[in-house]
Amino acid sequence: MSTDPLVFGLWTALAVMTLATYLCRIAGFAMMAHVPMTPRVRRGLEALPGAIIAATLVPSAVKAGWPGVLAVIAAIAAKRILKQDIFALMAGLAVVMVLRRLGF
Amino acid sequence: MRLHNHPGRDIPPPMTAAPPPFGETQPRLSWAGFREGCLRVVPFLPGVIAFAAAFGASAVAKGFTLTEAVAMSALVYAGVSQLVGLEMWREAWTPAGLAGLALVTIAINGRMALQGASLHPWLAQHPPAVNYTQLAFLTDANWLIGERYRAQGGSDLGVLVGAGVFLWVIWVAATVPGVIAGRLVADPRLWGLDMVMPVMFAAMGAGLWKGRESIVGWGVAGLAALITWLVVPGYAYIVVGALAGAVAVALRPEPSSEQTP
Repeated sequence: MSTDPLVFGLWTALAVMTLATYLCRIAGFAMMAHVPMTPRVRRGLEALPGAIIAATLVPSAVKAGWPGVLAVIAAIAAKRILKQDIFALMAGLAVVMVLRRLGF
Repeated sequence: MRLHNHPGRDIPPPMTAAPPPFGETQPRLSWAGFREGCLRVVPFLPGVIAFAAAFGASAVAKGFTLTEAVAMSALVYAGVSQLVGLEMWREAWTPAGLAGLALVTIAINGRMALQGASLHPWLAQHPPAVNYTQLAFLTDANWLIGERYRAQGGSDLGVLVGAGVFLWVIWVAATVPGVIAGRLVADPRLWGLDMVMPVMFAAMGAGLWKGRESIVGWGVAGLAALITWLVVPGYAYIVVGALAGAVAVALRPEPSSEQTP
């Protein structure tokens, strides 16, 4: 890899993420004058955040095995019951810690 | 007084001038509004601080220094994409790797485009220079604060900007304790720090879940992501799964809606 001239480091990657995120922040405002928001487009865009969460969550939980899957279930339960992200985080991480220390 | 009908809020109104009538179109951007925006951030603070600290701990687990972790929070300022970015992080980036990072970042933060679009009628009253600067601070919480404020009849853009800037300060500052706590942990895996991201997604997911209307989008996205993950190496599964879910919802026949509250 080190002989490849087209290799970039951390700060380039940070710049890419910064620029990509800024483009997202301004894109909707900038395009609003030109793109008609049909009900279909609107429904798709509204479904996008949940779809992103599901698409990220399912494989990453499965990757981590039983501790991962059970931690996710614990976090969802904690969030629904206690309504706070912090409790969901604590519950999920507690499940992972206990299961991994037990050798799972 | 248009701003101060929050239950449980007994602070004095920050604005002493007479409130303008509803539906005023005069652009307003004031320090009083900025302060009002900061105050409206307070209920969000516990969640934001916990999330930023979790990001800091995850960044340390990925080998980030304090400076690098704080820089990412300050520059990117978008928690979920920062955590997913960490998941994809590598020592050296090829152009293809950077393109993938950009694509995933855009896929995750694409919701900001919708939020920006919904703010357009309000923002359009102000000069482009103001908007293309203040939109750098657009995030879920200040968007929500701004939309609520507008729904209450408010028109001062300072509320949106103040909330965004204040949240940015908190986000950057709260990254630091996460980094320090993360360093105290010898084996991040035993403490579950590699699971912070999936667990936060689960928590946010549980909060965003809208019952039956969410089943199609989430189900298609999760399934498509799982299949893609099994077949294609790397992180393409996030983009493929998320787009599959959103397209599935968009292509559905018009819902015979107003049945679900």
